[in-house]
Amino acid sequence: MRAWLYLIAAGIAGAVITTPALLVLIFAGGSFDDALFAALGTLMLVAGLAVVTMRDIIRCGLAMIVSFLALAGIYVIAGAPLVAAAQVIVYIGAISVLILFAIMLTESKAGPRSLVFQTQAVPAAVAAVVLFVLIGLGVAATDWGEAAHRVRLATDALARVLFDDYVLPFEIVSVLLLAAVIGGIFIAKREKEPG
Amino acid sequence: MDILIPLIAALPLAGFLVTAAIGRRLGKNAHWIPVLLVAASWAIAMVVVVTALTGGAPFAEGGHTVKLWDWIPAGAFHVEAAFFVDNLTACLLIVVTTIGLLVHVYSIGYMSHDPGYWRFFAYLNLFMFSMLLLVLGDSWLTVFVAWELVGLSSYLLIGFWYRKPSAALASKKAFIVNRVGDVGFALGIMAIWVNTGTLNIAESLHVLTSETLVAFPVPVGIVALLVFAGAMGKSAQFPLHVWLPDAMEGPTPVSALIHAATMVNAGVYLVARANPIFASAPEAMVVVAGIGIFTAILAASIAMTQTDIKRVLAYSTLSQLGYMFAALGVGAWTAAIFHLMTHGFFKGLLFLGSGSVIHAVHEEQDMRRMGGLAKKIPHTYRTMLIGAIAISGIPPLAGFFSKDEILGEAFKLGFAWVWAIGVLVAIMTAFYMFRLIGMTFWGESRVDKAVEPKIHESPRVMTVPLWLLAIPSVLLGLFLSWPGPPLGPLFGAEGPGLLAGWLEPVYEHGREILGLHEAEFAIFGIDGALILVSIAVATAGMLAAWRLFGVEIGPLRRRGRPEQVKALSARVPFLYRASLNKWWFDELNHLLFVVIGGRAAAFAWWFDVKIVDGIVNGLGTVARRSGGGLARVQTGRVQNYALGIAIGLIVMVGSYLMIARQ
Amino acid sequence: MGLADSLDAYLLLAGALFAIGTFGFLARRNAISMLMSIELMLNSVNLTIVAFGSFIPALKADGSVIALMVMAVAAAEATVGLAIVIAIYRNRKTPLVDEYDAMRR
Repeated sequence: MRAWLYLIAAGIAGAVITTPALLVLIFAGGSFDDALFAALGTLMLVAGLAVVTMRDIIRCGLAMIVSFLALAGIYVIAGAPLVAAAQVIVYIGAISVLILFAIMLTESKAGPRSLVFQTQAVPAAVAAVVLFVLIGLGVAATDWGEAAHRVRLATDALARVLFDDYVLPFEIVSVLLLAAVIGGIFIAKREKEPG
Repeated sequence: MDILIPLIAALPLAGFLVTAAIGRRLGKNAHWIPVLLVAASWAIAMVVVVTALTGGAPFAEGGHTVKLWDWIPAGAFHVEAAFFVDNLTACLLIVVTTIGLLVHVYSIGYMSHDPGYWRFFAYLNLFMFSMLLLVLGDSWLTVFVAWELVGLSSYLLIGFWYRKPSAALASKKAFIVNRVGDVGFALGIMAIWVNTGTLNIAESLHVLTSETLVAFPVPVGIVALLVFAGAMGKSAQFPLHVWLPDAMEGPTPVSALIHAATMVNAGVYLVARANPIFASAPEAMVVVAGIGIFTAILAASIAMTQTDIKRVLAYSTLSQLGYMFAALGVGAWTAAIFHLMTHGFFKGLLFLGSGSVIHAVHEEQDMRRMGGLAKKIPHTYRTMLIGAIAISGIPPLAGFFSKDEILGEAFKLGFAWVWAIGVLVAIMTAFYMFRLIGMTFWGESRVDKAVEPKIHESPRVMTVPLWLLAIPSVLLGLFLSWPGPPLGPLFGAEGPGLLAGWLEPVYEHGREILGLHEAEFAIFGIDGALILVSIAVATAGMLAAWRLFGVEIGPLRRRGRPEQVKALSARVPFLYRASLNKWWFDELNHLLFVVIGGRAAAFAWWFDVKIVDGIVNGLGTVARRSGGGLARVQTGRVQNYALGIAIGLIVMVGSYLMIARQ
Repeated sequence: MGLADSLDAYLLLAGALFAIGTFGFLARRNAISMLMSIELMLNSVNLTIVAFGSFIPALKADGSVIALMVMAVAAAEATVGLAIVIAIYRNRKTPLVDEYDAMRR
């Protein structure tokens, strides 16, 4: 019985992803890149919604991983493959694992839906929608002065810039990470019981 | 002379301080120091007075100033502590020191049984000092300080028997009513300073009256009326007259000294001293005359039905003071001072005599329980009879001269209404005085049977002052008016009267402003007619009193007719009741100030508590409640705060977008 | 349609993700959920930066570099944030943020 449920869930997920892609391809006359963009974008947003609305927190974490993956794909489309790789390694490989560990360490029983959301959930939703509308207006109204096509960035050009012009921030970030690690260990350390 | 003048006031002050300090221990001998000091003060005052009135050095025409020190040297506001003596001061000094001394001596006998003996003399000396300071002071501020001190002494002395509730209330009433007048006086002094920049009396009078073309910040008429307001309070003119009858709660020597001869004359002195100001404001003078003569007839009407012997004399004082102010108001300033002096003596005599009567019948003050005392207390009787004749205006005693001069001047200066009312008052005066004599001394004795055998004449220390006061009551009128009218021309003498001559430099300026001239005294013309009218009305009043209340002078004997008195009173019930109830002024004041004023005060209290405090407390409550309400934002939860941040962000971005898009 | 070639599309996508992340941050009770929402928001910002880097010629490689920096910082922040949540959990025995109200009036 379980297997059928998972299969149905997978089917729905696939539909969610492919429908917009097909729509774009067939009805809007877009190129393959556009269809891919639409599919990955939809996946990312749906996964994001899942993160913020699901009851079981482990499932939220897993949905987050899916969202990151989709984002990595979009990075590739946007022409920043190194960033996509870094996204996968850092976000999925490190941060998500970290979050899952933290969930494990701070167990709480999944309760009824009313316990998931705060009492201010409705105003929060309204605020989020309004925020999106404002961003959209701002984006649409501004002339960015952009080029017509996206430019794919060569990795060696990136490396040159990273270790030439931005070497100082690079080193500082490494120190920051060190500090974060030490701090994290110290804060999360279990206090020694006296005696 | 420069040493003597300050001594006049300093000696009683020393007497007060010493007696206040050690009087209690002196017991029965507490009177020696105050009396001796007052006697010394009297002697020095007589020397000064004689020197001044005869024009001896250093008294020039305008009087002599003795400066003690610079009291307030504050730049533009400069006041000296100084004494000023001119002829007007000299006249007042005669009255104040003489009657003061006699009252002190009288009190030795009258207050001999009182446990507060030393206190009485201390207060009396304080009063003497204050009054002397008042007449000797050379700046308005000194006069005002002395004015208040006199009020204080009066309060202390009226409420001398402070354990008696009526006495305490009466002294409070006197002080408060005086205070009302003092407000006007203080405002007047401030107005004088604003107008002239100086508080020296002589200087300010000069400035106020010489620059008639200059418009003063405060019109001279207003200044005059404000000064008169002070005089109204101190001299108990309508409507501030209500305190004087109640002041009879004090011991009789107090009534004699303060409320007959000296303190109440302070107002008259003030207006006389400020006569140039009044002369520059004829409308103010009319007000003064009106109030004066109205008080005269009001008080006389009340005196006709009172049964307490001291009350009759109190209302009589009110009435005579009204005469004096009427004289000041019509411009007969000399006549006013003349009446002040004669009245001081015979009213002082009458009060001291009444004290002797009260003493004789063991503290009984109701005349309905007296009668037939003539044989039993002969000295008192005879001196009081002299006083009664004097006050009624029967010639040739003192009252006739002064009263007739007032009435005559009033008529001749064009104030016929003042003259007419004054004539009415003269009839009433004679009537009620002889009613008093009749009920007290003549007829059958209605004295309480238990007291009757104990009636005795007063000791010599009390009767000698009575006789000493009787002499000027008889002779002073003749003395002060010779060789002028009315008797001078009759005997072919020329020139103004003695008093008129003394006071002429004082009133010269005022007369000049008003344009008054000395008219020819027509003894066989209008003046003679007026004199005859005065004599006639006085005699008529006296005869009417004799008819109703009896008479026993020499061979003339009539019995009183109490049934006719009752019948007459029954025929004019409203007037009788009004007179008996003092025209309900006390009730009116009670209604206005205690009841209505009390309601207004209660309303103000309510307003303060409910509304003002309500607003203030309300602000606090609003702040607290709103704070409490707003504090609910502090939930302690991060997400609530984050929502606030998000909303703020949305608002900022949204408004930026809206504005930037314009 | 030019979706993949229009800067506006990327920006709108990022904006939508940001809005979702904001909602999750403001509305979820579990502290870890809040942190996950923060990660979503950071990712949307990253996407914006990369999109700009890709379309604005003047930015050349800078967009990607900044995106990498942001990623590193996000990692550091996630570390410390989770450590704090664990510490509080140990103290309060609950990961629900609306029960952390000791600062309540």
